[in-house]
Amino acid sequence: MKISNQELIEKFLQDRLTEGEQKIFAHRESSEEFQLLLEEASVTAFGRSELKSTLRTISEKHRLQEEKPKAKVFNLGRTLSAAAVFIGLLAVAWFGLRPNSMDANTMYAKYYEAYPSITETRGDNDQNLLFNQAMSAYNEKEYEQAETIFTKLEEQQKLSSLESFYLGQSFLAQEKSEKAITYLQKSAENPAHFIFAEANYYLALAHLQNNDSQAAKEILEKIATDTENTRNKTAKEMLKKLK
Amino acid sequence: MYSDEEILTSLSGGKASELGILEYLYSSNIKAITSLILKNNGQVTDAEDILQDAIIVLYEKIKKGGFRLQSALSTYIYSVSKFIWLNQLRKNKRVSHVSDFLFEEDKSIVGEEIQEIFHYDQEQFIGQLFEKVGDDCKKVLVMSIYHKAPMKEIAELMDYKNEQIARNKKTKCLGKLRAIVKDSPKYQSIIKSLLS
Repeated sequence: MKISNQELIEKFLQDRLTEGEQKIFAHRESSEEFQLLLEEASVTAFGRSELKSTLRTISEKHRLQEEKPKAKVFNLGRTLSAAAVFIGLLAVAWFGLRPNSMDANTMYAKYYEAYPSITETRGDNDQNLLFNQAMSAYNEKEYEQAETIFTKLEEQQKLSSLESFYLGQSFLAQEKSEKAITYLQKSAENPAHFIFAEANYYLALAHLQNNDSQAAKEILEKIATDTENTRNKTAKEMLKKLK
Repeated sequence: MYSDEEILTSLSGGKASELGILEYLYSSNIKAITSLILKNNGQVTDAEDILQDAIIVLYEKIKKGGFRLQSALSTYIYSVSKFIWLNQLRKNKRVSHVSDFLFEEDKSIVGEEIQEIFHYDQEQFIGQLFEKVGDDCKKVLVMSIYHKAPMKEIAELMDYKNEQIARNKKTKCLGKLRAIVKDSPKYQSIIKSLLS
């Protein structure tokens, strides 16, 4: 049976080798030339599937953009799920790695991921009850409801850094960029607070959502020079790509 | 708006935004491809899929080097899409209810014949294989082998001090990949089936 190395490898990668071809494969696989071809073919197949993922994401984004003007009611859930798909698919795509290749919105879509909620619940008093209710809504990704409850809490007391952070997150998830910036800024003021690193990182993302690359860059540069900051590496990576 | 020349320069390794180029290529061609596919026994999702593959064909041809455009880029993408769709219809025995136009060959535009339709059914297997290689190796190998990025650029993107470190990393990663391919359960099952 005459079958080229290339064809044999393609079939192996597609799990389509016949019994006879499996024998040929086993016979040839010890040769250096065959090994090199196999490695190259594996990387090419992986690279191609990454490119396909990127293009699928572009399709999804394009479809949403086309649908947007026709929609009378803004469908937040769909937008957020599309954003999640976008983040996942672009996670390892080469196109996100090229230097200075991303505009603010693309970078936001690539890096934004809703901040996970905390499990802490507070004891009984009216303010704590509101905090627990707000966090419960946040946990359920009911960001509008979380915003309402946190706002009610703010009417009763000055919000703590953590409360401001989650209110900022609730605004960010609803793409209310300016409000998100206001509250994330408040939560990013105390370097001693445990939420400081995350607050600054999400503040940069809020500026990206607001299409303000310059403001985002300024914050990312601070994070990138702070070696203790847990988002240090990510900030450096983002700065390389941001237009 | 990008000119055909700008697109080719960027995809062949220039510094322009490639993601932007891909988005532009997609959005400027999707209407024509959707119309082609809808008229020929397909759905909107088929059109999206076909255009994605046509862009991959273009990308890989450019990366291989020596790609010469004989017509407008949109004409090339259209012809490649037509070719891929016709092959898919043939494969799935759905060639009835398609226009004669689909059978007209555009070899002069497509140039070298496209060997085959891409198979993504191996995606999961390949994905699992590369999960084991690790993130950095995955990036270095794909950048170097699939995207043909120069070592200097890889070093810059990966925060390596110089090109030599990137080169060494690539060699190590290839070794790792080789070991993983040999150790992969699927690979093992193929060998076992030979012994049974």
